[in-house]
Amino acid sequence: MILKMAQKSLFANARNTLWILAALSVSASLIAMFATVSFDLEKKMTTALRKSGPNAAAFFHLQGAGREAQSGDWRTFRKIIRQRGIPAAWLSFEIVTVQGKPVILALADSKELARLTPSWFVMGSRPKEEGECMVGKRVADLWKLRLGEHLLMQSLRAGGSVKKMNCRITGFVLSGDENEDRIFVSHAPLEFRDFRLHSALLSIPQGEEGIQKMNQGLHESGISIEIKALREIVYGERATLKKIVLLSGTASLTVFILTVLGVSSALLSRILERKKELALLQAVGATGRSLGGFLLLEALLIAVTASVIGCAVGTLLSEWLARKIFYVSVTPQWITLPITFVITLIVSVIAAGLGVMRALSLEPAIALRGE
Amino acid sequence: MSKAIIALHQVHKYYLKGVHALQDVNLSIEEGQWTAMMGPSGSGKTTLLNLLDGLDRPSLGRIEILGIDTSRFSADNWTVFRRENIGLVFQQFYLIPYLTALENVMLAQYYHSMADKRQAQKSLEEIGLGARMHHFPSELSGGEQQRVCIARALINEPKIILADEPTGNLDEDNEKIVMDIFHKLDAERKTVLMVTHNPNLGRLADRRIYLEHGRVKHEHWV
Repeated sequence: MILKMAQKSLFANARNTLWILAALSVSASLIAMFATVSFDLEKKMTTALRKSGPNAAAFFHLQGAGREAQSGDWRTFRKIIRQRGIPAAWLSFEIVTVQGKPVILALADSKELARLTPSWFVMGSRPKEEGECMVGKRVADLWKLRLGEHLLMQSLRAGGSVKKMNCRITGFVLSGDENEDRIFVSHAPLEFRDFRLHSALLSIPQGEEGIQKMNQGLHESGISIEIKALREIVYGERATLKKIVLLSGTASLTVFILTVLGVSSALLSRILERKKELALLQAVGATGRSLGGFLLLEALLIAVTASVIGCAVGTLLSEWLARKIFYVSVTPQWITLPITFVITLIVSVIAAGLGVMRALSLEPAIALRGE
Repeated sequence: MSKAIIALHQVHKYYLKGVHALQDVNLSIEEGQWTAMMGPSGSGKTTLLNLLDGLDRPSLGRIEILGIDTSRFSADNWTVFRRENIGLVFQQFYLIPYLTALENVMLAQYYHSMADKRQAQKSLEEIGLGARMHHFPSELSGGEQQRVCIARALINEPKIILADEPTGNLDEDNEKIVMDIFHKLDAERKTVLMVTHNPNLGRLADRRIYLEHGRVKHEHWV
């Protein structure tokens, strides 16, 4: 009975209900966004992620070395990495032309690359089959490419022969670095497999210490390959993340306080507008406790709705924020729902509590006279 | 001889700005009696009624209802006492606008003990509102709203019915319907205390008390 009455009362005072709902939803959205950024994005950006993602990149450093020497060293290096069980994504590069303009084509096993680049945001999917490719966002924007479109790449080979490769675009990649200027394929036709430049993304255990040891070992073995730590990127991202968390935390706190004030005043005005109705409820038998319960139930219904709206909007906001700044996609976190709900509920209870105190201080006889 | 169900002892009511609404009122109302409280506007009739239903408190004096001294009642004590023993009928009906006629009646049941839809439907059918029970107050005429208000007041079978100008806002036809309901209550020997300006309604009562300037001026027994 009382739940039905609370629902009807909320609909009957629709304008006021909407105002409170809007204020609480804004607050809930910011709380959900803040929680998502704090939990999900931090997880993705911290070293925990980097343990599974790359923390180093390997290059052939001896410029001008013969192709045979390069291939030999690279083969040995691959063997060492495989033996030590270090997660790696092997990349080979070639300059190709698309619509007459040069672009770097990267060949990498899709699964290996996906494992080492979880922070990349891929619109669509990564290439799996031969004849499929993933295009860097900047390349896609330059040629106004669309998903599913076919791309013709040409490569000038020794002796002046031109080799062609046609691929269907399965995804666009947002990595936030030079990889956005590249085209990625997982498989290449035989005639395209003589790539000259090689690189590897590595996830080396023990971080910088491990990288240093490995570089030393390579140097002692006379292998002309150098491994560089990717820490600057990681530290840069983490510093930005910290600033964002601090900024969104401060903004959320400010909005939280303003919302408590706004919702309190809206609930108070709602109660003052309804003082005759509340006096009548007392006249027909509602004790202070049941009257307070009724008003709190109304606030609870609004808080639940605002929490659901807030979680959805907050997740979208954090997705937008993450894509804009970090080029990663957020994973909705279930923990944000109870956090948002509890905080929204606290705001509502504080605001409703003030209203209830006011409602209970009303003199029913005076309120019924409309004074 | 019937016992006194309501007793007022030297009751005064002051408001701010020096308004003395009731002065030294001493009254005794017996069980099963239909009492009409009459007098000009501002004589203190409604104030007296509000003291008897606990919506307002006397500034001085003591009120006993059903043999219980109410002067030390808290607001919640009064609410519980009222919903157990008193039915209220208002001049302005005071129905909850977003509840149907049936729900308005069920609300009083809910706060008293538990909502009983069938009993609430029956009570509305008895006063001729069977076809209008699912209508909202805004869809009902003044007379119909007053009947819903009466059904709400009677649904928990109160020992005392306090009515403030129950026909004050009604036309002649509806006034007659409401008067018939009060007649029926009188026949059932319910204790009714009614504030009214209406001499026709006042004449039906067993006892008429005239108030003037917050004092009992005179009484008339039938």
